[in-house]
Amino acid sequence: MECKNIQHTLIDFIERNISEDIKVQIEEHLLTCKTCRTEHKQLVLLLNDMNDIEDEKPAENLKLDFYSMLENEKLNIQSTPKTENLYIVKYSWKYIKYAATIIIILGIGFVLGQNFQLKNQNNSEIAYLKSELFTMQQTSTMASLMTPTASQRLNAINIIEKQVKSDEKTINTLINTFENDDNINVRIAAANALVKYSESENIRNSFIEILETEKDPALQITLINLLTQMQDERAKKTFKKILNNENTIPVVREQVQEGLKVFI
Amino acid sequence: MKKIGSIILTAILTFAISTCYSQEYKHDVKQGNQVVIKNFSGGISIEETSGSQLIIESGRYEKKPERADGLKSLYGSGAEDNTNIGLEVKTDGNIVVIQAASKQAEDAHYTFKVPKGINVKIDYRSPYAGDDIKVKNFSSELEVSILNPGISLENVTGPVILSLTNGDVEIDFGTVNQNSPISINAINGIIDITLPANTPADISMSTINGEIFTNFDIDFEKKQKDGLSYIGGGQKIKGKINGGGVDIKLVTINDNIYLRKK
Repeated sequence: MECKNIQHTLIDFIERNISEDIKVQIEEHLLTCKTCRTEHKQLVLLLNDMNDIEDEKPAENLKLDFYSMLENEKLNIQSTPKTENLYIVKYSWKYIKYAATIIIILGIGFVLGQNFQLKNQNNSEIAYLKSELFTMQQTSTMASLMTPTASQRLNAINIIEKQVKSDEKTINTLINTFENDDNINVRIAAANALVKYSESENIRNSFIEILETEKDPALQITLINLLTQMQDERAKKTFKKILNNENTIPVVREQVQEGLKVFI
Repeated sequence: MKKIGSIILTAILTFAISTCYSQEYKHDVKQGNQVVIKNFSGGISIEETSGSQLIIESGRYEKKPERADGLKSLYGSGAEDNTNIGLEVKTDGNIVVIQAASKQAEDAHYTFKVPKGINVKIDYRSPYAGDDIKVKNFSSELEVSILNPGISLENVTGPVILSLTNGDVEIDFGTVNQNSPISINAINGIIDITLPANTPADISMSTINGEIFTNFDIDFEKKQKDGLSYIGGGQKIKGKINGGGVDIKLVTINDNIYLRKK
């Protein structure tokens, strides 16, 4: 995608109103294009600010006071003869006094409010930067999982593997890499990196599902070993299926037999 | 009679020489491009060149017969010979795809001279591929998958990503690139790696039915897991050499691993 198209879709991207594949394209693009990255950052800031600003309303009692005062004044006006100009002047002075008080109160309130907002904004800016940094790290590692060279993808998996805990998005990307990458070494590395989260049903299902259809012996053997380690009962059925498949090559057959021995 | 014989012989020789000679094809490549060789069963040698063009040489390649002038050659896979040496070379974005486009190419031997900085990916999983791949003096990324033959690399720096089923891997590394991992998966073959003695690396090696030999001093990592860690009695070794560095992963199932220093 070109910068022009990217910049048009940025708001939708931030609001998450776009399809997954366009999202991925934009994420990839943002990683390489500084102009769009700045644009994206500014837009996020702007949208954040817009959400932060609340409509300013005068306090409820202020309103009440004002209206009751107005009523009083109205009554006064009605009860006094309009011809007495002097009185009117006197009266309007009184009114201006109140109006000035109101303006001053509102003014103080506004200044206080501004300060409060500034502080708020600072806090939210720090929080924003923090989350931005985290997302950047995650996005850059995940974007590396889509680069054309296998070594960069392997590198990304090594980085994820060394993280203490990865978020769900990263794990899903890892599962996706394990299932679809076109390099076997990368898929094997992804499978090994996923073992840490093997409590997850998704991962176990994915391992079993891939093992059922996988033809590459190196990946087959990796999965057989991992599933044996996990002692997942459902794997037994898949193991037997592989054993009965006449196309299974001898070395894979051997691993399945060894694996089945270890199952209790 | 003798004279006629020699005339015929000369004629045959001339014909043979005119149709059968070393040919080359040149293709412009840009930095950041990747060369992908696929649907290939002929022999492959790879070298790095200082030039900016990808050069493909074929040892002996019979030219198109004259009778075929003005005709296109057709090949089963749909690839079209646009090089006159039996290959199709096509640029698709950043990727230069090279594939066999003639019957002859299936058995011919090709030498690819690749400019520095161009990564190479080879899909050599054709069951008809018979010759070992040879790579010399190569400093870009090499990604290869092979079914039957083996591969030998000489004076390479990595990154090297190999996956083999039946062949052996033999690598003599120059200075190892510390930025990108090396990953080698063999199943029924030997892995024999020579590294400069001072290479810093995090090494992990495993074989299930074979042995591991080395003359490096490896700082072994303590076992972190209890309980069942591996099946089939295989062995898994993980550790650092020269204080640790780039990730090197060597995995085979049925044969030995040799890790040598030079």
